[in-house]
Amino acid sequence: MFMQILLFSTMYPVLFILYFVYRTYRREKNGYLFGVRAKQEWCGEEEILKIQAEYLKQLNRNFIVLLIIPLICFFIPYVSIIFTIWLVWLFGAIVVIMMPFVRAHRKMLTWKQERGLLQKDSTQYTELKCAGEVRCVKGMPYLIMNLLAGAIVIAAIFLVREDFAVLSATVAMFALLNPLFYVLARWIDRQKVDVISTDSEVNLNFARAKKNVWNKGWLLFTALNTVWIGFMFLICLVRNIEIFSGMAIWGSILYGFVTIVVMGVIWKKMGNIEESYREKRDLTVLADDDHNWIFGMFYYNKNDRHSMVTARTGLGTTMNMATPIGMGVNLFAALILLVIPVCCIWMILLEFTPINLRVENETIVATQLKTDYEIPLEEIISLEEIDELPRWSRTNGTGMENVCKGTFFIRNEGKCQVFLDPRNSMFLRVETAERIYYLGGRSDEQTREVHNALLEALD
Amino acid sequence: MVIAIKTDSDVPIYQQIRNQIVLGISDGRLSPGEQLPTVRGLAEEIGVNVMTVNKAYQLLKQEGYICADRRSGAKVCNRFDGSPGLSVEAAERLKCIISEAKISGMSKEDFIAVCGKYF
Repeated sequence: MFMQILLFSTMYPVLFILYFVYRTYRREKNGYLFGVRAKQEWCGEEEILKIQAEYLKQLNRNFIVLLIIPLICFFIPYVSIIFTIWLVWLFGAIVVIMMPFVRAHRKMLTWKQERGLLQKDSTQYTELKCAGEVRCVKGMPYLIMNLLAGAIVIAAIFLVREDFAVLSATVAMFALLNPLFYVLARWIDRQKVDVISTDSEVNLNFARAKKNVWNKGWLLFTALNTVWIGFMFLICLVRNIEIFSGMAIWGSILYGFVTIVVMGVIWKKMGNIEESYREKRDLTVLADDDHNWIFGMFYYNKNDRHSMVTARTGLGTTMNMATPIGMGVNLFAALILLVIPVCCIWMILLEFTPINLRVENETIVATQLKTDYEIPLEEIISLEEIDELPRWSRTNGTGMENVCKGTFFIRNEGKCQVFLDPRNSMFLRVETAERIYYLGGRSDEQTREVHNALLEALD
Repeated sequence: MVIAIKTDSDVPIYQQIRNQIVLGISDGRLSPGEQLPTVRGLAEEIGVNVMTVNKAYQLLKQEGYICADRRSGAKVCNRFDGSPGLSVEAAERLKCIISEAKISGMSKEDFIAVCGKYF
């Protein structure tokens, strides 16, 4: 149930965010409607109004369907199936919510084509007077926070106990985000100045205002991440797994919440800047290059070497998919889309394939989908039957309701290898010269059979 | 000053940059002595190779529109020393444009009116 609530509370809001963002796309903004270059006077046309109304209707319908689907998860008892449904739903929601926009975009293009308004303008406007001049990112604050994060990582490596080693690795991973934030801040800072007017002063001030907000945003993310690293390090020092778990969960929820708030503030500030410059916009400097925009959202222009351009919808920027960076990002996204179904199938197989423990050829063999452990009987120093599992923390491996396998850490005992179904009531503790194993079969009967076979062989 | 570059034009990009800067100087959007962006900065902003902008600047320098040195970068020249009148190349280009206008049936008066508009 805890996982159900966690998935529900983290994934369900995504749909609401998507819906409200897409609702705003039905209005003409900065000379674009549904990602198509549109003049303000066209917006009163009957057919355009019809496209807008149809868009809203389809968006509402898709939103309601998507609202209902995840509720079926509450009636399914299998973790892997629930997880798969949520992931499929999440990616499906992104596509389904986008579909009315794509349809409206196509209708707009047809409308323009029918009236001979569709052009293939390849003009690129550049502000000469502030070329390479508007830079807001200063290295020093980033350097200080990076040094601080580095110092915390070094302290974590030397001071944190072995059972919290994974957590000190997590601290190091979060510390790597800080230089990444700096690289991203520099990259965005070097992007082209948006030409919104023929007046250079307007372009200059607009670019400065936006880049300043970006810089402050990245600085805030870096500071927040440094505080989070420090917090994780401190709770690792408490050396109490219960306190640590509680604080880590609440801390990560708080970290996620503050991150969303910061993103919201950046979004709001960008919106304010856009709004204050609305009157100063001169739409004659807008190229009619609809052919460079796939679905009005994805920019693909081989003749433009800029890797980032201002998005036609929303407030942010988008990648030029024709550049090497854009292609790299696409490839990465495609890889993730491929990896996710593989992970889901793997989880389902793990949940529905029973574990198997047997003794054959003088060896204990533990298998589930593959051979997990092979322990030659001659290496066994001691064998013990236990009916209660010790308290442990997972270092790596699987920890599901029906199977625990991998490396676990037990206080006063150290690292051990686990392969069992925790729902059973009979387990074996096997010790070799190098390792300690906690083993179990698919049922208590199978464990008993293995136990008897081992006693016989070891005698 | 906003410069417009057509990426699908037959005119090379360095030539388009040069033309836009000359236009800017002639209509006063670029004043004498005004600092121009660095080659790297402008190349980054337009999204072209550094060599393309460098070629445009070299051409402008040769023609006497801009002055450039290592310390202060490129600036619009304070005064243009060339004798008043068109260069031989420019006169040839104008001759070609006048011929095109004549073939299209444009009258001399109309042509002069158009010239007056842009002058």
